[in-house]
Amino acid sequence: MPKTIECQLCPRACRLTDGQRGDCRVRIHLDGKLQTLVYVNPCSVHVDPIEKKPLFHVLPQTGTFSIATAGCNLHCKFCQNWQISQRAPEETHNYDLPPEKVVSEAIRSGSKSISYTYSDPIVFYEYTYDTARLAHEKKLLNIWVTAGYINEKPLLEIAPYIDAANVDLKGITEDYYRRMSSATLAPVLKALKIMQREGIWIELTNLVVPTWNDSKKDISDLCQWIADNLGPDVPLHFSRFWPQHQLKNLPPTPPKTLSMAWEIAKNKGLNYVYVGNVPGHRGNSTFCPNDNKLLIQRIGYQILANNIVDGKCKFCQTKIPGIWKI
Amino acid sequence: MNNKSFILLLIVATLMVFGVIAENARSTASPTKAEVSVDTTGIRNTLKNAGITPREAKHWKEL
Repeated sequence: MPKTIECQLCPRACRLTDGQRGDCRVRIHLDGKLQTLVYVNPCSVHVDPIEKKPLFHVLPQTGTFSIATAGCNLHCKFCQNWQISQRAPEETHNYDLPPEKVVSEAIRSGSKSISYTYSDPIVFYEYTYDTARLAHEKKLLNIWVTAGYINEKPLLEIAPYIDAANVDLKGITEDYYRRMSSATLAPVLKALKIMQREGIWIELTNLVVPTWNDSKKDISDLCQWIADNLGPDVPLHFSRFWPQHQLKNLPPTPPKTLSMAWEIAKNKGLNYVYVGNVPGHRGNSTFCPNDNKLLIQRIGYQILANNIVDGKCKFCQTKIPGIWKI
Repeated sequence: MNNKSFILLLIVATLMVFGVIAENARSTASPTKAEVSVDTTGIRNTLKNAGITPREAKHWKEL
């Protein structure tokens, strides 16, 4: 029996002796093997509007069957799901939901996709992998909502079964990732490029946290990296911070900061920039990058108008990137 | 305590310290071959009581 094994799922590369768990709390060395403790045991199961992920360019106004297990391989100070992400599975109330049941329940609920979300699907990798394969057989899309902190090999293995992903690009400096999330930035940037190259539709979320990553320079550098490395057609969602978890001392992000971020992103040439949690902002809706016509009008998660027809602007026929139908 | 007693105490203490150093050096030079093992019974019971069944994971290696 090996004395030490190394998990190779994420860049933490936890080295574990018998009985030890990884940093994520859900992978353990037992009987000389690395074992997952969250296969078939989600602790959160909901049907959400797909816009909540947020995904604005994938099957608008459809439901997505959303699951999550306990655990996470990051430890973000602002985490809004910390009650499950910073917990071991024996500390959460779990369901028994094998992959085939996830798929059948998703179909029964009328959902067009399954989202692996809330905590981080990277830590329930095996469960995601098996479920995603079955979902494809039933013509359901698979969606990852993730921080993207994963090694290349496991990402390449699961990529064929992931259709779309919302990825947190939390900041654009190593220092921010270290101080805020106890992680590193470089693997996330690499994972984003791999996802795009492998054909996964990606939308990015940046949570703007007052005094941490809300400077003009931070936002400008982040947008520049996206424009240079992923291109102007990757949607970017600026999300408003609300006091949570270990950052209850901070105020919510002022709407004018989000407006500033939106302006910077548009000036950097990004075509699809959104602002979350600020009702009535222009950044709630989708506009054609060619003729600036309103394509999808949103209030919250509700769509009031949709002028995208066959994946194109109804007015000028410009192709609008996304997954508009299965 | 008079000076003689103090000196005697100091010598005894010094001998004890050197004795410990010598024993540590000896055990480092010829370590025990006994295998360190961890009793994972408690861990398994905790998982079982929580209704959790471990399953082999992907993407790992032996060191």
